[in-house]
Amino acid sequence: MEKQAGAGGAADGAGPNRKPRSPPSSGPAADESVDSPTGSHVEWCKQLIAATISSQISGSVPSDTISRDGKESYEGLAYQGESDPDALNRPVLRDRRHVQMDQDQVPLLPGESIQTVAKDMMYICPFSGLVTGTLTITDYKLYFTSLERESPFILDVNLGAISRLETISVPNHGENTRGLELVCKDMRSLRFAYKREEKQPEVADVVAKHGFPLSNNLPLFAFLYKEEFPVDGWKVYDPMAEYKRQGLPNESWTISKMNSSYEICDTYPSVLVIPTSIKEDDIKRVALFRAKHRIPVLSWIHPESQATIIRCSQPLVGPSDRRCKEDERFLQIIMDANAQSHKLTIFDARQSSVADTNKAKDGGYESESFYPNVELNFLEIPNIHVMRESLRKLKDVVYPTIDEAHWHSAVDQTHWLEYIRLLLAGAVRIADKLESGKTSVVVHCSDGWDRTTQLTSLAMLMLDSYYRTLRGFQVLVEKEWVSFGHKFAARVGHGDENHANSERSPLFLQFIDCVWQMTRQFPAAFEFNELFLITVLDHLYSCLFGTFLYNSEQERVDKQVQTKTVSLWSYINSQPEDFTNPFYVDYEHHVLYPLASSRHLELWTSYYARWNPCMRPQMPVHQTLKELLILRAELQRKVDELQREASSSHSLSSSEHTSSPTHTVGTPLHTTV
Amino acid sequence: RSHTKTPYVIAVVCVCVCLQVEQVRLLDRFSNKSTNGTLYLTATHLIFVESGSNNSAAAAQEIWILHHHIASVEKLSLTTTGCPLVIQCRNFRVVHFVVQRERDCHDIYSSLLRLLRPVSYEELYAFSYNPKQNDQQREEGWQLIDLGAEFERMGVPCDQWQLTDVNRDYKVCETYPRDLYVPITASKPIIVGSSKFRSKGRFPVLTYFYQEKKAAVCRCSQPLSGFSARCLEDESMLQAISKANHNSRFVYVMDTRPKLNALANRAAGKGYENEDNYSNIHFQFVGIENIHVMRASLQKLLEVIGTRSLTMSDYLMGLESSGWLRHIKAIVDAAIFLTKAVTGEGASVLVHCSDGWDRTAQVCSLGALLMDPYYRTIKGFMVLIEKDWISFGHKFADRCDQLDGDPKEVSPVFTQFLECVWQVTEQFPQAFEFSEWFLLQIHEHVHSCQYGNFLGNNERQREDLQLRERTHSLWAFLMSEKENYMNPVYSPAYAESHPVLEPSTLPYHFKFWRNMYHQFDRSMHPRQSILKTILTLRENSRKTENTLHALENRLQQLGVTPVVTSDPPAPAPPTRDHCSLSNRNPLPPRPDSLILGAPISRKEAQQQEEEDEEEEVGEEATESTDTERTVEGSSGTESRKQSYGELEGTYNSELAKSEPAVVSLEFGVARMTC
Repeated sequence: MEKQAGAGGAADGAGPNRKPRSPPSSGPAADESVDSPTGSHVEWCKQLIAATISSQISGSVPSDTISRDGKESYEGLAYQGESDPDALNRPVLRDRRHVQMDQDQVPLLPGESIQTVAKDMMYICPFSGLVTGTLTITDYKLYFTSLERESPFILDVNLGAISRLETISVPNHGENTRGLELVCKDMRSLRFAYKREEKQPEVADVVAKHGFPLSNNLPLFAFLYKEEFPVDGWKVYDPMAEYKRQGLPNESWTISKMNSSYEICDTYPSVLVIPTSIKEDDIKRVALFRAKHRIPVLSWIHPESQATIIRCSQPLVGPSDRRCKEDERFLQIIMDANAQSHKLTIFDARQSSVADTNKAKDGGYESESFYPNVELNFLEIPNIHVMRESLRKLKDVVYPTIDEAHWHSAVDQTHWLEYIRLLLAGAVRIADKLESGKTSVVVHCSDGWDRTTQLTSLAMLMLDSYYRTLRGFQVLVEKEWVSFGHKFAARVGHGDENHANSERSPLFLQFIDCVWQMTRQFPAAFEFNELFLITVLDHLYSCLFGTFLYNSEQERVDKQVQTKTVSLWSYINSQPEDFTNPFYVDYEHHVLYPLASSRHLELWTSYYARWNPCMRPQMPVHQTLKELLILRAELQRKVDELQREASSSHSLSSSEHTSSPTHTVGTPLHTTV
Repeated sequence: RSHTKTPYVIAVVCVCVCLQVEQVRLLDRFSNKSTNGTLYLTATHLIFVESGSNNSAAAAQEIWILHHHIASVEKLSLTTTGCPLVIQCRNFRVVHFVVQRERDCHDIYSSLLRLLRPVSYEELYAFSYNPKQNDQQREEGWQLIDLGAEFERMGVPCDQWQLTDVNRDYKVCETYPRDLYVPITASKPIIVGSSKFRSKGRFPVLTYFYQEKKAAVCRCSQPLSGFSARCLEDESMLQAISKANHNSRFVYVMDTRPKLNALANRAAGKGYENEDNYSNIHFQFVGIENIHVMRASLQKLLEVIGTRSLTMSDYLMGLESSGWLRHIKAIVDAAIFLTKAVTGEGASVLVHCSDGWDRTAQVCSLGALLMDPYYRTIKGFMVLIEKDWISFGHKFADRCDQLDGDPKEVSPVFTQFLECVWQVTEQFPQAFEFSEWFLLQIHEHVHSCQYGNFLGNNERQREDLQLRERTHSLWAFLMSEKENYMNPVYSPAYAESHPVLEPSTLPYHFKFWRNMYHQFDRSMHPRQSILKTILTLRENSRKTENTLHALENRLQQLGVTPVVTSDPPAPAPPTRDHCSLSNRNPLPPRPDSLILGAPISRKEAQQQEEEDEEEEVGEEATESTDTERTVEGSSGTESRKQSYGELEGTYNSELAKSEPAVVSLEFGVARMTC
């Protein structure tokens, strides 16, 4: 620290004070270094000093020009500077019917309000250098505009994406120059430099206050957002309808209301599918034997073989090899419910060594000797902490600069693709067991809400073409992820300033990455496109919609999420044409097995490296495809119309034909068509 | 695809079988699968025919391997199941046979070794290949590409550049073509003097003229400068090039080698231009490695990707340490530099390496491809290869090892060029008229020695061999099935609005070209190809249009005026015959050439699915493709009405069914090379 400060402050002898804004981590794993993740501390200080010097020489743009041309700049925003990806990925703002313009011409969402406007802010763009402009902070976003350059420069970042905020200060010629660094969950880091003005509220404080509302006793923005969409996304997922689609209930499986007030398991949904022939008392005993009471329940049933995907948490076997007769019988019943197979396969997502460690800590796994005809497989997938670390490394690789000479080895060292491969390979094994082996499968990890969710949802995506439609995918996410209690709030850290919390982990991102890998291998099998996947990820962090808020269904009911916030699917389903894959052909009844081999997986650079200006697509292919799609639809419409018309005139002509046998106009046509 | 019985195979080849071995097992490179069959050895091909499968409907697998494609044959030590024979091909096919009896294996092995290494050009397949064309057709084929017309297209000759007859008899430079373009002010003595100062006599000549800025791309070989030698004629030659362009005061001289290599050459009396001796030149090293480095790099790459169970880490590290993509990037970087100098600054550029026939050809041709949309068309790309590679004497015979030659001369220089083009097409999908298949097909035939185009090392040698009289031209063949190589997303409007391409060279834009290096490994093929999807979509649109016209026509005949008037693009409305014909045989005609297949007919797709269903789902379950849960999809056939319903039925079922199939390459290639 000393050394860095000395080097950084060499310009005027005084070292900058680095002050992490977040309090010391309360989580157990506060192992992150103080160093900025996007480059060395020294470099950051140098940038800051360079920024102050340049501002003294060049001065800054008069602020009144901004209000004059603001509207124009917003319209001309497409494909300009930093703002481009935002414009692409946040089509909410594109629909300008909903955009109010206030006096400073910052586009605001309904319910959004400006908190502070800071002039003469300098944005240190890693790609195009220093930009001076005005920073507007609302309760939803940061909006930075500059008219310094030929094309208006706009940077639009929602506060929900901010993971960590840091300030440093460099005393310089009596003026207090501050540096503000925002490390974002969406792979970028933004650096601003500005002069501290006594009268003004401190920018960093405002950002921190609204960026981390929950830490400041403020509501999440989703509760303030007042947009109204023509479609209600909360209606997308109805568990009864979804189970009915799967053919449930049937003679072996019943839809149970046992958990309707979350008394069996507080992290499970209220509607569960369990075997018909099991008594409530037994279920309660099983619940005691499973971690967090997450009992085995049905996620998906094969329409033909009746083989099922069952999810649960680890059994509480413990070091003394405890048994639970009811649990053993439960799995036996699950096996018996599938007449096609006399076996049951358990996939434990964990590494076997970790499962053993868990056993010592009262957790564990099913013993093949206590559970007859059960086969236990470990999928050897590392835990959430490993995944978090992997993504952190990946961010260093892709942002802001890329080491050209060692690209592949750098990607390799993150192990990100290796973990993607493990997930896909595991899901393929599950899907294959069901499809080819006609055997029911039980999937669990430790608590059954992270890796389990990833695996079951991926396997279902491979097995069931419904989930590959735009609607079906939403149902899949709502069902397997949201309702079954993937802890979104903890894993993403919505509105929480504690960036070092060890509960955070990019599991949903991994799932979406796996889906993207599948869409690469089967470009015609998915109804949604890449923009859809990116939009989902953006709003995973944005806190604009209620969809991903909180950890469980129970919490969401408590907080009245469905009545007080808007669903992400409302927005998506109001403009589905933007998210539709033009290649989509309904692959009904097709099971997709993606190749989980190293040669077939690639890094999703159009997501991870999208902030790099070189990453902009060289030409919009999707435009061509869209045109083709429109052409096809148009032609089909014409055919339909003509056919209708032809059939009506055909009946006309044939009646004519019968009435007057000499009339031969219609007759030869039967032979030509 | 023929459901071939053995005699038929032979009939097609019209060549007697030298050797026939039954009960040979073909092992898949990446899985545990194997096929049993019979191996035939003919004078030109090694043929493997899968023995009568229980399902007679499915086509028996046939693999045809042209002897010229075989790079190496290796007999491994005897195992309990038989004697393994591994054959590596230049088109990146690797086949692993197990022959039951060692004696048979040895026979095949020794016969192949004999056939493998032709010693004279006359033994090459091109001289016996006869695609049933008459002499006139053959001649027309050879006249397809006219380089004189190409220079005219560029605007040469003009007031600054002229055609010189100095090399009419290959006296000045025997590896150059007869017709060369030089600056008006470059007199014969200057040319001859300059050529004496250049390695192999390859003096600076024009290869591309950027008309808009009158900037020229010239090529030559290294100067024989040693440590201090000068040549006034050579200096005036460069001066003349500089003067021919009024837009710029100087000429860039690009030495495509790494500086170290150029320095080492100085000790051998060669080297590079000294900026002090030449007026108005800007000298620049680019740093593309030599043929030996490239050969080793590809070797390493193939070793990595040939590994059976490759971990993510091995793959990524192997890809990086092979350096292959780095070399590709170096070539693209050089081409971008060239493009920027010419189109941006309007400066003329002189490109050379050591002899000016490897790296120089790569950089000049790739640069021209980036600058000129014409070269991104099918015809234009042929012209480009004909000009920068064939006529300027890229040593195809040596680099591709056509005759039994020096293994140190073999190098994948042309393959690299094709890969550079592919990498650019990945970034600019709309800018190219041709698809990946075109590049793969060209690569196939550069090594096949089936057509005369690539035989020999230079134009002079080709004339001596009388190739135009004795062999056929590949370009005519490719042109005849142009449909198969069309890129469906090509947009001529885009080409017009973006004449100059500037690819990004960030490392993740350089991808492993799986469809090249794994083109014969079926398990490595993409499950669904976008290309195929678009082609199918196109096809569907075309059919819908036809249906539309048929219906409109019918309405008219019924005396009803259609309310919807359709746009005119579709051809004459088809009658029933046309319709049913196109149902059976959808256009574009399935390429009997290779790779990933064009849209195939429904029947074939079905067959494919059946085959796929037979495939076992391996332990990793990675081999299997889409299995259909229900055999017949819901194609709305129940609503089939007597007359119109038929049209509707085919339309819908095409939409729903025509894609999900993986097309095997083996069949395609087999048909192609016979």
